[in-house]
Amino acid sequence: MEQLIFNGLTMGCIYALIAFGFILIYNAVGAVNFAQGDLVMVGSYLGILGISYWGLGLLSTMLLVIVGSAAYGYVFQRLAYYPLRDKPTITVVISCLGAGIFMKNGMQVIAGPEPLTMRGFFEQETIQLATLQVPTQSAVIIVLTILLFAIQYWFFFGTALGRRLRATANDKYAARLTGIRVRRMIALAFVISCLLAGIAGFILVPIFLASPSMGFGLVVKAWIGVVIGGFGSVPGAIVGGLIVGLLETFAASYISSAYKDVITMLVLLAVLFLRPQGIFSEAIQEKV
Amino acid sequence: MNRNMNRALIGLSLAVALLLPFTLASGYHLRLANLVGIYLLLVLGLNFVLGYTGLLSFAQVGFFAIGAYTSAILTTDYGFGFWVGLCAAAGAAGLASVIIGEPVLKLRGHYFVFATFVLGEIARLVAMNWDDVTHGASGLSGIPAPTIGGFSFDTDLSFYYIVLAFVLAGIFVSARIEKSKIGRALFAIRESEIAAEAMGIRTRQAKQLAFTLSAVFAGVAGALYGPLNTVISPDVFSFDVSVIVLVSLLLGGTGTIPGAIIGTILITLLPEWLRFLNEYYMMIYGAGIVLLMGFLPKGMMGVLENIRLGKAKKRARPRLDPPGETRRTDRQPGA
Amino acid sequence: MKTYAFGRAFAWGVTTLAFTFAASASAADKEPIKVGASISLTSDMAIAGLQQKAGIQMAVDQINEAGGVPGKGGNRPIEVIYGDNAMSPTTAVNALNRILSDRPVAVLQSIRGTHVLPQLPLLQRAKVAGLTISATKKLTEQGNDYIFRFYPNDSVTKPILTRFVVEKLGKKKVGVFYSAEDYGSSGRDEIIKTLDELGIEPVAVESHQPTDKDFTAQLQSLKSAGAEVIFLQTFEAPSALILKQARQLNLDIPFALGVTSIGASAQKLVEARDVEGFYAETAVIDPSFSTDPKVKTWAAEIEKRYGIVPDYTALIDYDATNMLIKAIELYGPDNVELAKGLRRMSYDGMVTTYQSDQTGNMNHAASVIQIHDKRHTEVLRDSVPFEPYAEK
Repeated sequence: MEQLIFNGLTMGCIYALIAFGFILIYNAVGAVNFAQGDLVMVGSYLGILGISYWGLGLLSTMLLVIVGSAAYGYVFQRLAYYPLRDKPTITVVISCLGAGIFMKNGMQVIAGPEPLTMRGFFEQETIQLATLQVPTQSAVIIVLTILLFAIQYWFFFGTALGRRLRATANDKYAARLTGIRVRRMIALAFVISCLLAGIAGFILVPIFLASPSMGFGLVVKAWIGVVIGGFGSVPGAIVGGLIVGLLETFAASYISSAYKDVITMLVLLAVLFLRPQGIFSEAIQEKV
Repeated sequence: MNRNMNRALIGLSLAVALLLPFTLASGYHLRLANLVGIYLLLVLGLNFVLGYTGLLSFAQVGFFAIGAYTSAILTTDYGFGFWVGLCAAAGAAGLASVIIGEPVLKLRGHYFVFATFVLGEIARLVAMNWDDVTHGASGLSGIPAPTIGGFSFDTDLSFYYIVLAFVLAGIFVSARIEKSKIGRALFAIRESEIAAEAMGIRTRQAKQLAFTLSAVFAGVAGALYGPLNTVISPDVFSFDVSVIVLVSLLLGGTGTIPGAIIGTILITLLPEWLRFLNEYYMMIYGAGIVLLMGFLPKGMMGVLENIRLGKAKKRARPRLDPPGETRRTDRQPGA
Repeated sequence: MKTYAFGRAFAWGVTTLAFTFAASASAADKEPIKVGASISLTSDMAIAGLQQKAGIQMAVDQINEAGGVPGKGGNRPIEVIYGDNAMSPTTAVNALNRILSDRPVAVLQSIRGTHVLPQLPLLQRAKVAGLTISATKKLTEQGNDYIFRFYPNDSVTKPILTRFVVEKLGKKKVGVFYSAEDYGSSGRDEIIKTLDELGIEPVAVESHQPTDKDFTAQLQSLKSAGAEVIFLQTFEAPSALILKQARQLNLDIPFALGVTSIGASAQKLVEARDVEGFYAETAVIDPSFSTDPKVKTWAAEIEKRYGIVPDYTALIDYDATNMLIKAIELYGPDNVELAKGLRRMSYDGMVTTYQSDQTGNMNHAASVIQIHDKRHTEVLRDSVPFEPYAEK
């Protein structure tokens, strides 16, 4: 039982990271970013580039992933969002979709369609904690996720820059009136989002395998988490992601491994029908 | 252009469409033409929701799957005729859209987008896992062709006319709706749902109608797809289909029937023309979507309109807007 | 006025359509003998597709370098017309249609059953033989005279492995873990059928979705059911993860693997300790581990010419292409005669002797290999009795 919780939390952390990044963009520009999963994929490949091709150490590769993802996030928003910033948000949604397709197929051309892997971060694959077999990579993921969210919290609530970003997310126009450079804030939101996605991508390669099309499955799960948690809500994204991870694992174990995905989707539908605003409610219905 | 020229043009187009199969170089091209027809139904369906009402929906593939599986199961496993299967397909898809529409159409903007996306995925997962009914991953094979009297439309050539008939019907329905009161109601909702509601339009019902129309069109497309391919399986109904349908509409010009036609033809044929690009094709496809949004949000029809507006003075015509809510920049008075 | 836009657009559309088709008019007659190849050259499925291409192209290049296929009008070279199936069955059917419009004498098909199945009616109608290396049983159960399967289907490979595990290794408590789609389900069915013939019922049968990444639940289920061996029927990526997780959980249960778990790309994803000592079924031992000098030379040649390390799919498609070439030599380039000839003749390939049974299965032998330090050794080679094709 504890083993299941642990495994569920591991994937849940990944989904939470992706969901969080996704919500950042949504709050900043109001668009559903269909390419979020592909941004994760880029992080995975940056990690593989560092470790398998350039033979860098763990920390150097992490640095590479951080810098690479951040830079990539900036380029992404500059090309896929910025030219459309004054157009209806639907165009942004579609543009991100196209960008995702470009990324996915581009990576396939560069790296080939074969799935790739890398060794776990630690030599020792599992450690024994009480009755649990804890894969060290899972421990890495959970610890790193907690760390990242702690940093996020400090950033958004404890720094001036973070406060400005939150203000922009809340109300772009008011923010502009108070002198906040909205354009920069939006770019920053994309950069942070991509950064989180990239790190998530890097740390999950050992347990997940990397392939150009890995993004799709991941982002669907992350979105389900976002809905369950409450669309647009930041704690909702985190909690929702964790819930999806746990739900998957438990559904597979206690109900049926074949119907695991269907069950998750059905829970999603139930939430949509019964409590569409999710756990941390956010008004998502038309106020008409 | 006056009325008579207009009528002549339609007559000519119809003649060309009817004779097209005999001008085509090979059976391969004929099959492509059939595929274009089926996709066109999907795109016209999306046009009701996205084009007229301004709601981005990814549910087309879901209704497509419902239609395809309903008719395939009824015709292959239970021995019903094609026409029974077709009606059931349209009915099932329509019913699904009503049941799903109830909660989903209340959702705001992008939330709605995501919800429709999930619906498509659920349809695929159910098709994949409900072994008893859908045969799971292997799908259904040996789907029979339509028959009228004793004649079986089992060649690409004969089937073309069935597809053409439905396409014409679809275009007709779309055109009627476009010019009708309900069409105007949908346009009003696209501009601003709140204003529309304030004007007394029953937005809930209007949106449901658009959604159901799109579902029925997709359901019919599904019923036609089965006999064309003779085999259906879950991997046909992936998210990619919804993307292709969307891009077709965007490329041609959202909210317009000619746009839907042109866009579908281009998207289906582009992979053929650009075959020399091999694996780079999909990359260009993705980049193309981004560029399309940036430079040609109104699609090919928008390009046409710009040309025409460039030549003539601005005059009052039904406007073509980029998908989604309209942004008003400047507007000529007098509609 | 309401039909104005309609008319214009319709004219637009139809003209575009007509122009396009006119532009891609059919080719004139050429001297080479045309053979089609409808395989996945792009997308995720290109991994197998490119292997197929190497095997096919090697056979064609070799015969062309030798001057061509001997025939009535002299020696004629072979020209391969490639079509890209990409991922979806719809694209596969389109690709085949395009190939067929060039009038090939036969078509080599994909390893993916879901691509081949919808192509069958087209082949029957065009009376063109299709040569596939897919193991999906259904393909030869459609009453089609134009399908030829060069890979031993599941009712050859799985029983051989199952019997080996039960009889030779003495395992009686058996678990089955399969991927919930065509390939996995087909394998599962054959394994359970053989177990039934041996009087055994599996202690647990678990499945997973093709895109799953975490298999702890299923693995623990299998363990608590007391399985002494687990038959694994799934694709490369999930297989690698399952094996890795099984080891991390200290499952301590040996696996009996399907061929997809031991291919070159699958092997890259696992470590030696993930698969140590396990057995697997395959049509033929992977060329990289073969002790046959002919195979080794062939593999080196493929790597030199096409830059890829060939696996068993390349090898079998090489045999299939060569058998086709031989058939063209014996029966001429008429597609109908060719298909009839393929049904009747037998051919000694690198892997086995190919001969059609009543429904188009050409390959009736399989091997069981064992993995040590990531190297494969053949521990058993067996074949299944069959009835050679007899004209009705």
